[in-house]
Amino acid sequence: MDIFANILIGLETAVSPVNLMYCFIGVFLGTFFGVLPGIGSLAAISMILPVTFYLEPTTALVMLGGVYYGAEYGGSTASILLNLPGTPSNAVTCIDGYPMAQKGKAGLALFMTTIASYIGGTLGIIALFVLSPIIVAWALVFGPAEYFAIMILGLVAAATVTQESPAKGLAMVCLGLLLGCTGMDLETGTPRFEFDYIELYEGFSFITIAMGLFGVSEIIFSVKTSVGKAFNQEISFRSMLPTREEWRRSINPMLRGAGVGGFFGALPGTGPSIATFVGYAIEKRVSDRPEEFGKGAIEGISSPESANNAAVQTAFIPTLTLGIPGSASMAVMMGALLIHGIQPGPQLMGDRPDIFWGVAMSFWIGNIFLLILNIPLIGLWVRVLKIPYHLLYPAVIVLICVGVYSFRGSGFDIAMVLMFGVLGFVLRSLRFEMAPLLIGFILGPMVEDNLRRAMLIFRGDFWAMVERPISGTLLLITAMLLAYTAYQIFFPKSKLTVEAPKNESN
Amino acid sequence: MKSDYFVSVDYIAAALIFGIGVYYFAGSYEYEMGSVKHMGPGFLPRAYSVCAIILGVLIFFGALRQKAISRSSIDPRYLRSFIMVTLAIISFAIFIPRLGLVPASISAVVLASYGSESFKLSTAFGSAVMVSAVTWVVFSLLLGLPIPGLIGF
Repeated sequence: MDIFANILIGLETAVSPVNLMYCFIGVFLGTFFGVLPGIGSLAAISMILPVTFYLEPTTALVMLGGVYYGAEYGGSTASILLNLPGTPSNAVTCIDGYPMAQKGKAGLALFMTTIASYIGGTLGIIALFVLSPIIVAWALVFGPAEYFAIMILGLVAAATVTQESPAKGLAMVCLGLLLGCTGMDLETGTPRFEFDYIELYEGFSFITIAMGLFGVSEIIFSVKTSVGKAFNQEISFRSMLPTREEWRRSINPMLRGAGVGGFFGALPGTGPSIATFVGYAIEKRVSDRPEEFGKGAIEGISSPESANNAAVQTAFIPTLTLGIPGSASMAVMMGALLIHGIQPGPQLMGDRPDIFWGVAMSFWIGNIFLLILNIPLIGLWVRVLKIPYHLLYPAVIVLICVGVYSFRGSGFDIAMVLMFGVLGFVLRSLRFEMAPLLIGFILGPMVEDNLRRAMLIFRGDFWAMVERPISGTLLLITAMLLAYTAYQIFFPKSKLTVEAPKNESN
Repeated sequence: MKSDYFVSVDYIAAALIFGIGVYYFAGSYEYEMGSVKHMGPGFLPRAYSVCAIILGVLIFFGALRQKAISRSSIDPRYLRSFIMVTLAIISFAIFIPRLGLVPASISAVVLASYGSESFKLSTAFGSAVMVSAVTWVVFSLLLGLPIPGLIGF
C-alpha cells in the first residue's frame, strides 16, 4: 500500500468536524489531568473511558489517544515548575527542568519541552505510518501458535523487563490471567469463577478494573500530594523564546531522543518511562559539558521529552497491528476498542483502514493542537497547577462513580470499582505493579483461545509449536527472558539501584 | 524511608499470591480439565494457579534474602484517605438509585474530602454543590444520560 494513499485516507477521517472536536477535547482534558500531579495519564484515560462509549469507535480512540499523549505533554509542566512529575515518565524532566525554572528560565524550559514533545511525537507517528504496514504484512501469516507465542512473550516482557522485582511482576500477570478467567468459557459456555453473580457471566467488566486499579487506588495514595508550593514566576511569551545557541544545543538531543523513544515504545514491556531514562543517560554521555547536567542543562529536558512522546506514539504500533498492548495505557486503549466490538490485529488495517489511518492521522493533528495549547495558553495550565488537590480529588471520585454508573446504570459496577480500588490499594501497599495485571487481564481470554486452537491443530503436541520458525523463535526468546529472570532472582547482584519512578502515582 | 514494621512486605505479598494460587487451584476442580488436545474450562485456570503458587514461593525466598528493615512496609498514613474514599464510593452507590445524582454526588464529595487533613466543612460543602451541579449539567443535560438529578421530589 502506498503511504501517501494511507495518509489521505487518514486525513479524510481525521479532519471530520466530529473527530476534530473530540481530538481537541481529548488533548485538552489530557493536558489538564497531565498537568495535575497525582493523576497520571492512566488514571486520566480510565476516567474518560466511559464517556467514549457513546461515540463511534474511531472517534472514541481519537479522543482517548488525545487524552493519553496530552497527559504526557502536560506532565512536564509540573515537573518543571514544581519539581513534581505530572506523570511518571516526566520524572526525568525534573532533573534539569526544575533547576532551569529556579534560574528564572521556566518559560524557556516549558517552550523547549513542548517543541521536543512535538518533534518526538511527529517522528513517532512517522514510524507508526512506515512500520505498521510492514508488520501487518508479516503478521498476516500468523496462526494461533504464533499469536500464543507473541502474547506470552508480551506478558513475560511486561512483567520482567522494567520491574523492580520480576517475580512480583509475573505474579501480577498470573493474577490478571486468573481474573480474566471469570465469566463464560469461550468454547463450552460454562460460567467460571463467577462467584454466583449473574453480572459476572460476561466476566469482570474491563472498565471497573481500569478505574478501580488506576483511578481509585491512585487517588487514595495521592490525597497527600500538596500542590501548594509557591510558584510565582511570570511567564511571558518573550521569556519562552530560546536563543540561537539554545536551539543549536537542543536539536540533536531531540532527534536522538526520538530515536530512543521510538525504539523502546514499540518494544513490549518497555515504554515511555524507560525511554526517558535512556535518552537522558545518552545525552549526558555524549555531551561535552556533562557537569551541567542536573543544574539546568537544556539537553537534559529536550531529549527525554522527545523520547517520551515518540515512545507514546510508537506504543500504538504493536497494539494496533498485532493486538498486543505493550503497556497498561495501551491495554486500556485496546479494551476501549474491544468494547466497541473491534478486534485490533493485522486484519484491522485491511478491514477498517479508516479507523487505522484515521486514528494515526488524528494523533498528528492532536500534536498540533498541543503545540497551540502549550505555548500560547501556558498561563492557563500554570493557573491549573494552583488548584489545591484536596478540592480536586473528591470531584474525581464523583467523576469515576458517575462514569461507571452511566455505563449500564448498575450499582453492582460501582461496587466492583470499589473492590478493585481496594485490591489496588492493597497490592500497591505490598509493592506490586498494576500494569502487568491489566495486561494479563486483557490478554487472558485471547491467550486461552489461541492456545486451545493451536493445541487442536497440533493434536496436543506442544513441541510442534516450538518447531515452527516464528512461534519457536518467540518462545525461545521468552524462555531466555525467564531464564535470565530466574538467574536474577537466585543470584541477585549487589543492589545497583537506579533512581526510577516509583509507580504510576507520584 | 522509615519503617515501622520489621517484617518485609514481601512476606505478606508472598502469602497473598500463594493463597490466591491455592484458592484458584481448588476452584479449578469444579470445572472439567479436558486433555492437552481438547482443553476443558478448568485447564488454564489450573495452570495459572500452579504458576501463582510457584511465584508465591519465589517471592517468599526473595523476601528471606532481604535485610529485615531494608524494605518499607504498609504505610498507616494512607489509612484515613483509604477509609474516606471507600465510604464516599459506598455512599454514592447507595444514594444514586434511590435519591439521584445530586444527593449522591454531594455525599460522596463531602465524605471524600474528609480523607484529607486540609478538610474544612464549609469548603467541602461548597465544592460538593459545585461538583454536583456540574455533573448534573454535563451528564444529565448535555450527554442526556438516563440518570435523574433528584428522585422523589
